[in-house]
Amino acid sequence: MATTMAAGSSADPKNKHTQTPFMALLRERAALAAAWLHAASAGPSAAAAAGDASAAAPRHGASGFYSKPLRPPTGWSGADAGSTAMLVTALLRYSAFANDTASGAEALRQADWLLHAQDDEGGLPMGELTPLSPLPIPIQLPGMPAPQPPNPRIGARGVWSTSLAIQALLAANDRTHAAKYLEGAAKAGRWLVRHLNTAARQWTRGTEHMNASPAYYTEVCAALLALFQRTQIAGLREAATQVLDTLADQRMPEGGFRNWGADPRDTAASHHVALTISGFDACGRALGGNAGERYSRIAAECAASLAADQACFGRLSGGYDEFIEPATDFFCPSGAARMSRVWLGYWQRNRDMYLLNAAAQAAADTVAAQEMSAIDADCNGALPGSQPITGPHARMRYPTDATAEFVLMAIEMHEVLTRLLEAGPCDW
Amino acid sequence: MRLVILADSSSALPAIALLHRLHHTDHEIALVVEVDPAPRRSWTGWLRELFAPRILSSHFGADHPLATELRVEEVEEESITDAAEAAHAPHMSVSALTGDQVMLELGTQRADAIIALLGVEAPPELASLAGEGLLQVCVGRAPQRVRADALRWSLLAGERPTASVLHLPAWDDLGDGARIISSRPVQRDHADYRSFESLVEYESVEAVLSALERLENPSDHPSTDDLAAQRPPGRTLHRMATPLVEVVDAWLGEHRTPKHS
Repeated sequence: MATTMAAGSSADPKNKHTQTPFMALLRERAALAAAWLHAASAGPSAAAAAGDASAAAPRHGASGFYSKPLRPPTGWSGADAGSTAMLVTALLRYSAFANDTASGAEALRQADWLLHAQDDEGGLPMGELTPLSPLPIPIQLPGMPAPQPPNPRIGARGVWSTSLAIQALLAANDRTHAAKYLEGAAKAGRWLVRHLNTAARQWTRGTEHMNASPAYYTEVCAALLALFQRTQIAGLREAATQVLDTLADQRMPEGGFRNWGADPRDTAASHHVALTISGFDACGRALGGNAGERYSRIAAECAASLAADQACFGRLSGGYDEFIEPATDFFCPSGAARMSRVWLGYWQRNRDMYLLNAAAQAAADTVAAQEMSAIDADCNGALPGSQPITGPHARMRYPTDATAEFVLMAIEMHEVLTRLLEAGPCDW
Repeated sequence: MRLVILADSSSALPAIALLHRLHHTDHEIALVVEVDPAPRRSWTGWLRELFAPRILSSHFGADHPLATELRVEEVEEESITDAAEAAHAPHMSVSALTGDQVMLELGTQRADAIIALLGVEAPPELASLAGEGLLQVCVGRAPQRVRADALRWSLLAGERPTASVLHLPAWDDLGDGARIISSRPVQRDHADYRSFESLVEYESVEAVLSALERLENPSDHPSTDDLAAQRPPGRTLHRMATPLVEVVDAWLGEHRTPKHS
């Protein structure tokens, strides 16, 4: 592992008598995952250094994924703005949870990179930023020019990466109260509003596929509404509700969405299903009252369906169809981690034990999926895109998003279990 | 009343105690059905029985109130079969409560009530085989908590540990009209917390006797909303996830220390 963590919190003697074995495991695994995120944060520089050892480490974002077969020789992909934003959110949360200043500093460094990567209009680059090289992989052969670090301010902008950056910059603003982060988030929010196709009432440019907004863009709307609650910028709320209505109208009579994922022709990974539900839930709560009731109801119905499915089959499937029926035989750790967080949110609001149990089960399944004993030690601590790793979602990769999601899930689950343990059974 | 009792290995001690109590009342025990997934006719069943701990002599410690009570009363039966013979009740063993033959056997008994002392939820269609229906013993105040981890679910719900009897009337073969007609909370001062489950088992026998009394004399026991069954539609709390099991066990572990130490 490139970066070693202090991670002293797991050995904190004051926790000895106040946590269960699973809580201790969550702490330990969150520390390992955070350490892996540090390595992912340094990943692109490792990739560049492999091409030119004398090159100074460029200012860069975090790697989008790790995969030795896909990105030899180091395994780290180029910088990815969306993954960097997820990493910022996760490391800031972990820093507060474990009182780890190194994670906080790394997260803020990457938040600064997000500001640097924003173009003048406020958009963030879409997809992986590959080094400028005559070869498909960043290595230098004799007589050829060395790979040059990419310029993140040039190239296509993405809706998804921009929305994730809003959430990351808002988290950085919460931590530091620095105005630059809030201004960056506001700039990104204005970019999203400006690039909304008002005729189609959805984003049609800067999307991953198909020139349409997939259902999981509810999370983009959630980011806009979170920004609106802070800044009251005109147009944010209207843009979010327009897209939400469009996506809600696309719901099938059977309860699910045909366009859960990026491509409606493919089976959606549970990662995208979970993001859709999470986004509807967050938007429903942000709008509140009658305005948010429709979205909250969709989220609650889909979350209950997935909980029943998990209870029936033992664990969440890796993908779902429009009937919210399991459509694959692999496991998607990042989807389970996100669903665990969604169910925990419901538990905190309505004390539904059924959903608490679902969240705990999903958390246990996700912990079991974390890579711990791989031959390639750089994988340890990360979560694969699919389990087995040959599954169709992020095949043969350890996405940074998945590990960041795992850190957030582990922290939230640990906090809930701590509160349960302290509260004890009813006072009778 | 003419009664049929359903029991399994998870409820052997309460079943023995209940048979012992009922033998000394006016109730008639028409049949005792032991649900045993591995019947004795198989070689594994024989082996299991050969090496199984004796129920009263070694399996339960001195802190189990039912075991203590039975020892005081010099009850020597070690199995449901022995207890049924001592109570002069016919006994049969089945591998599952399904199939036409089992239903036919239960139906021909013309019982007034069927008492289910099982670790799992009894099929609601059994209610139609007895005049007064089915009495299902469960832990806590929600009828779905008859399966594994029932006591833990009850504690996690913030309920006082309670043995309840759920009544499914004979006309209700879907279980929609189920109501809790008897509920016995564990007394906090009864003992220390080392034997939560044993206390619930102890109270379950009392709850069944109370439910029978209520069925015999309904005018003396008007129904109250407080005992209404809670049945969230389509949700059965089967197995509790390991992280939550650990939390509840930690609660119990804290309370296992004797109160006065």
